[in-house]
Amino acid sequence: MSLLAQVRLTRGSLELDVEVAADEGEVVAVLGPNGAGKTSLLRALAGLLPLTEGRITLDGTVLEDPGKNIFVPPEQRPVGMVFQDYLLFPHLSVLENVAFGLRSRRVPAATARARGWLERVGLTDLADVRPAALSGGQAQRVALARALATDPRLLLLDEPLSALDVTTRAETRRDLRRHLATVSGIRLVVTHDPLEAMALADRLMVIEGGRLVQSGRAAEVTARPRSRYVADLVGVNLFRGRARGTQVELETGGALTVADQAQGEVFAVVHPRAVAVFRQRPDGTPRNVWPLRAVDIDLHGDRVRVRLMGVVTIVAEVTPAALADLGLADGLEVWAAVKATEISVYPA
Amino acid sequence: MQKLVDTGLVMGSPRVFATNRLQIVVPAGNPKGITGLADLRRPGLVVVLCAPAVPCGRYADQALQRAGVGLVPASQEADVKAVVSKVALGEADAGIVYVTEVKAGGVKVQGIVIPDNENVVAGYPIAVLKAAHDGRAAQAFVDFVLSPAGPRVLAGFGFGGP
Amino acid sequence: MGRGRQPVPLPIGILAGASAAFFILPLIGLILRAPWAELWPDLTAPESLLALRLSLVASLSATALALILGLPLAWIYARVVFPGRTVLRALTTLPMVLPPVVGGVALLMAFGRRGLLGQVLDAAFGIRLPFTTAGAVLAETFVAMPFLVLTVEAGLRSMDRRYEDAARTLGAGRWTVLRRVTLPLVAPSLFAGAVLCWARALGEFGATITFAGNFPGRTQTLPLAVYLALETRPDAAILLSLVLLVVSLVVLVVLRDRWLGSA
Repeated sequence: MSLLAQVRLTRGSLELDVEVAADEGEVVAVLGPNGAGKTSLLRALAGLLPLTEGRITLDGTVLEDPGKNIFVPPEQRPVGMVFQDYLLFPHLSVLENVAFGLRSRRVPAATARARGWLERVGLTDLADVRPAALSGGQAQRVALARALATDPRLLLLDEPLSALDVTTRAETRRDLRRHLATVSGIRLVVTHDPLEAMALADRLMVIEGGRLVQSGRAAEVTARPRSRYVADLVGVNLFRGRARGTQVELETGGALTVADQAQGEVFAVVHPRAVAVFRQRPDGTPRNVWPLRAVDIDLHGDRVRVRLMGVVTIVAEVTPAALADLGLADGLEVWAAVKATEISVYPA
Repeated sequence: MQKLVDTGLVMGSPRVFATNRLQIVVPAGNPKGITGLADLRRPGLVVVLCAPAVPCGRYADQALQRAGVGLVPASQEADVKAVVSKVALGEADAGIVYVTEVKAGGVKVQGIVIPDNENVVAGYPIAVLKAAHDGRAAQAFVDFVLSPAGPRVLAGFGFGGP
Repeated sequence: MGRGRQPVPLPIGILAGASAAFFILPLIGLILRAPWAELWPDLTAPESLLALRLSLVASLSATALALILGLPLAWIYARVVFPGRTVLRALTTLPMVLPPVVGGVALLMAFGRRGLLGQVLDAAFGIRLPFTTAGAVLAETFVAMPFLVLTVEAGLRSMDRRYEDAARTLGAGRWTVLRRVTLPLVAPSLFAGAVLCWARALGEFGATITFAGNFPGRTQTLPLAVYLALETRPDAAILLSLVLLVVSLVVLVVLRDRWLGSA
């Protein structure tokens, strides 16, 4: 049982061209910046947005193929969707909401089954309540129960936690993970939160500007980001350049000396922790030393991140104490050093 | 006018200066071949009258009574012009209006004469009001209307003499 | 004035007061001049009761007809883009701005005995609309339906269409979506539109008298009865006008929150 989809469509200024492949039992997270096309991808899989080109095949059945004039409407696809704002029908009770899909598909004993699902998400007491009276976390659970009640082969979740406040989010994330684990079928979760992606999913897909930029296991993607977006999400410095042995010439100018040999187009990742900052030019082993200017100082928890610009642009992470000692301030000229062994290089 | 006389607002007594008679109005060419009031009872004929509240409607009822014709119209219009319009538009087959209205109706309509013994003569009285601003001018106008010049002008519109 | 609320600027207050007086004075005048002594005999006179009953029957029928014809139209205007939509929409809104008598004449041209469609109806089915109660209903529908269409269209446009998407992903076909999701969500606009339509149909005069004529019990609705009563029984006219006024007032008061609140 699997999903294989080549999705090509144009929506306004967005041109989406993505290939998705997922197996039964997989939870795949779709990550990307706003406007990247994540929601459009989900809507296309659900049948709410027609393809211009491509094909969607689920469990061997072709759901859509514009080339052959095949289009299975959303109500006939074994696909369930949890929307970003949940979209619980405001004029129906919680129970009626959950039973909606069952009634529409004429499943017998709809009410009883709906009650069963409400029990599974722990909301039996709220069966006759209207959605307006629910808290964010409760609404999310109802939306999930409603989508799961029809036993979809493919479950799509569009930013399931983004409408919640921070404290509720952590708790709901744990619950969601638990519920998702009990469900068979393929689950696709759209999110812009890498933490959420890693907590919920086995595999990540990164979409930017309508294109698939990176795909793989969560650990892989975060260890070896292939785009600025992912690098920023993970919080590392990402460089791109041409490697010749242990020298990497950066496309933005400057060069890095690395420990591992490489040839051709490469990415290089430097964690901000690995960047040391000095008032004077340091004397020592680091191969990478540059005079830079501090342009941005940002507090991140109990660490400080300093953006340094010059022949290279790099973010360093230091302690507040170090900040004070160095007298680091906006515009200050400093020296930055990175050991070659701290730089991870991989083919682009 | 009677109300004005009764409340003593009128100088002297009113004089009738013109008269009007009723006629049956039909579309030009008389497609349904109406010849008199009795024909209006023909089944399937659409006849419109003025509403009883309006003078023309009252007179039409009187004429119909005199002719011994009991008629239930399709509509009782609020004014006599509406009756003519409906006939002119072809929505009604016939109506009862004043002679002057048939004349004013132009080429789209024509009139069928109602014999005197069935017809009703409406008189138009004129009088000067005691409260008139310029009594002499008012009296001069009344004198003009009552002189031979008056009927001559009004005859052009179809009014009869006093 | 509550604490923290700004006082009303004087010019606005004066103008608003004058404006309110403009509307309230006629009503007060009617109430003061009404011959209350003859209230019961006048109102229960056969002509009055006949006119009242006919008005209610005709206006309710017109509203029903407007719902049947107007809902699909509103749906199309709100959801479907097609060439000429703007023009068509303007045309079907025209009765709102046309003088009613002009509307009546237009109806005669289309549905009269010699009208475009009227001819066919007469020749093929023997159906004649002028001078009939059905004709009165048609005239009232013609002038009142735009109110319903506009209100419902506004409701459909302002509704979050993603609810329909959600319903479809749950397996609801298009009819089920319409029945269980769309219509319940626009119910307030539907109600407001129907009531506005009914109120307009109730008060309709010009198109009715021009197209359907005037005959007690058949086409003489309350407004027509008032107009004719003015000639000979002005007191009765005042009382009948008050009836119409009170009915319309009640309708508008009930609708106030919905009308100003939603849509």
